[in-house]
Amino acid sequence: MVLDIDEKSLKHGVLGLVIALVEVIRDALKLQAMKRMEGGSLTEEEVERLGQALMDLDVAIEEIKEEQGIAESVKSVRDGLDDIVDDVLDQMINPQRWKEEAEQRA
Amino acid sequence: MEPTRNSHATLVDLLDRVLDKGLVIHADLIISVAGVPLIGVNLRAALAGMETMLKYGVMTEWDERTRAWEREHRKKKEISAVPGEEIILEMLGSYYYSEGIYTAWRMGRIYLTDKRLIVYHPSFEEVLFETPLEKIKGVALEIEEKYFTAKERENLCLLLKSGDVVRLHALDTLKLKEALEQRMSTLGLGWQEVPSLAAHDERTASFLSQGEEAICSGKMWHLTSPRGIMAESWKPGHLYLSNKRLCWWYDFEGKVGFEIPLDRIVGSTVGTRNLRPTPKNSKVLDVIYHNDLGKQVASFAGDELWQWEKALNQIVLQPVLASTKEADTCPQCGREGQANELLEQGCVYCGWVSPRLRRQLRRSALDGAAR
Amino acid sequence: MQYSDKTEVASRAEAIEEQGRYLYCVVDSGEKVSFGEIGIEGKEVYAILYRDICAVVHNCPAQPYRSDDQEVVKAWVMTHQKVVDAAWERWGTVLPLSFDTIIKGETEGSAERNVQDWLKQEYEGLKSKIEKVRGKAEYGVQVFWDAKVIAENLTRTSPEIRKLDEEIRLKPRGLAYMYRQRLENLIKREMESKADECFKDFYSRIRKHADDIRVEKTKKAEQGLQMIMNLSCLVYKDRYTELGEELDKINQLEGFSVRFTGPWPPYSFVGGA
Repeated sequence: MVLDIDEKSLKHGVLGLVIALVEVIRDALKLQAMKRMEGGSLTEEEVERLGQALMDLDVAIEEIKEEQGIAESVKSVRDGLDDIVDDVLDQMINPQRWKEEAEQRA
Repeated sequence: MEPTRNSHATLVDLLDRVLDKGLVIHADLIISVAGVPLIGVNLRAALAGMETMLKYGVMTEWDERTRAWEREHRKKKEISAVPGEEIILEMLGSYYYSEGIYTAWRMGRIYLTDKRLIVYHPSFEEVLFETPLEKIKGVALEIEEKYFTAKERENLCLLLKSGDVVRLHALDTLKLKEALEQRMSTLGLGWQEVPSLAAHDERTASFLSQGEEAICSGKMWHLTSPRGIMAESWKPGHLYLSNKRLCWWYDFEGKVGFEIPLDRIVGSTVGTRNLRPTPKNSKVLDVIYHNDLGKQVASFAGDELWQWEKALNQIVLQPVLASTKEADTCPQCGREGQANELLEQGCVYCGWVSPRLRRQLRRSALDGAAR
Repeated sequence: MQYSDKTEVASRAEAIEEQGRYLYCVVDSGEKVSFGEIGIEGKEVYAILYRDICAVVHNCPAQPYRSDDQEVVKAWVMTHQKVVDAAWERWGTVLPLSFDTIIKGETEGSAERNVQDWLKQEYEGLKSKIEKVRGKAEYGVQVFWDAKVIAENLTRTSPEIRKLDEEIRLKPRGLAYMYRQRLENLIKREMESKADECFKDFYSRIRKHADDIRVEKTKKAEQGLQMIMNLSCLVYKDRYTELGEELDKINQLEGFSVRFTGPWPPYSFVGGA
């Protein structure tokens, strides 16, 4: 099935969401890669290949975003996801506590 | 440093306080919708008009521009009625404000008096727009297609004698237009029904020069040439034909990505091509023009290509009546022929075919063979 | 017969229209005053008295104001603020309530009584809150930094970062990419501790010029800028210039910018016990 991507379709919605999630997964991969590297469980050659692969992934994602003109949509999806995470964290963290700690240190 | 308060930029600060804070009362005394916030976080951002700004991702600029604008315009303007001025019609509506990248429909009350047309926001005590009726040169009803919902809406477009274009939308736009026209004819004022106003929008405001007017416009994809590691690709945008040039606005970059002065255009033709990645053949508008490197072709895809071809050929070829520009010479045999024919079909004398046409023929031959 | 039925229905309908009292604020005054029809939906705003304090209200159905139209809600909220402002200007000290707080009453006239009962019950608490905010206003203070500028400064001054930066130049493509990630993480950690330092420093400087401070959640800022501090400050109305001067000093630091908003009625300092 060929995707007929045009402006009037849900490109900015669906594709934006997909690329946003791809970016999130890529970030998780980067994190894992860093942990392995810092943990010393990789050889220098392995790190080199890992780095190149991740770099290529970055370039590919940027190209898709530019070609399809969805960079802004992706950003707003990711900001939205950030907001959701923030809201969850807020329920657990009390801002009053920051103030109290700050007063103590002051 | 002075604290600020009464500006659009501090609306979020106000909302944070008015919606979330203040004296607390026991739940059994008051009406509340338990657990469900009456105003959600996203709605709050929307109330402050932030969404439009976030979409452009350049809020710093916006904020500076807004503050500069506010400094200039933010004297509390009240409507001062001229003695004896009567209000003919009053309704809720909005005014399209466009300044650089800050564009928004601003809500207010539209007042048509016997002398002026005013858009006023009572809560902010701000006159958003005002014009004496004599300054109106043209009136048009414009259909605006909403980007994602594909819903249409009627806007009232006014062309002022100063050359500015003003856009309004009202609860009953048609009624407002009729009342406005009625009042203007009672006053003995003439105006133009200007259909070409449809070609004016927030993009034209930024790139049209003095004395330049947009004649046609439409959503068009443009085949951009290879650049660095990017192969040639189709990009979405808007095409404009003005009395000076043909230019294509690239949506993603928010500026004109490609243009040809009218005197360089030789002609245009609508052909069929195989556009990747879709397997079907699509109609494409090829515009043939001169530049320093010789003859070139710019390709566009979209709706109403035949209208574009007609408009281009009319505008371009009319002043150059006799076929001097239409004619061209075949690069192979040197005989004369019609420019677009040479490109579309090749030379009738020697069978020369343009590289583009050759590629096209090859592709359709392959398609035929595959089937 | 039919005629009197109609008026009865009409008056009962009117009674339902009036069963709630929309609260704007509580003021320090024993004056029974009407502000006229400046309230939401053009309702008449007036005061309900208890001893020497009153609640500024308008009559409404016992139902919250809701609408799907953002512009309508925005207009209501602006009107709420206008009324609170008017009361503030008139009496100098107000305890504002948030938008859409409505006290209900089951029968005719009972909402009014409920308001008075509430004023009576909370009298001591309200009086002490009034004293706390008397003569003061709330100001918003937000400090931002330009992440890029701060990161560049850190890169210049931190030897660890400089060393790593140089190492990266010598490495092949893939390794360089991974080491750059390590560098980014390092910079991020150093920026976080710098943010903490700055918060403590600025907070203690600002604390000297405010009577009370509430620490608010930081919010997302424009591109490139990060909000590192968001405060609501309760300041004597004639002392805000001192706060402004201190903020000027912070604003002039390289990479930092300050947003100073207000004066607001003391929304952040009247909630809770």
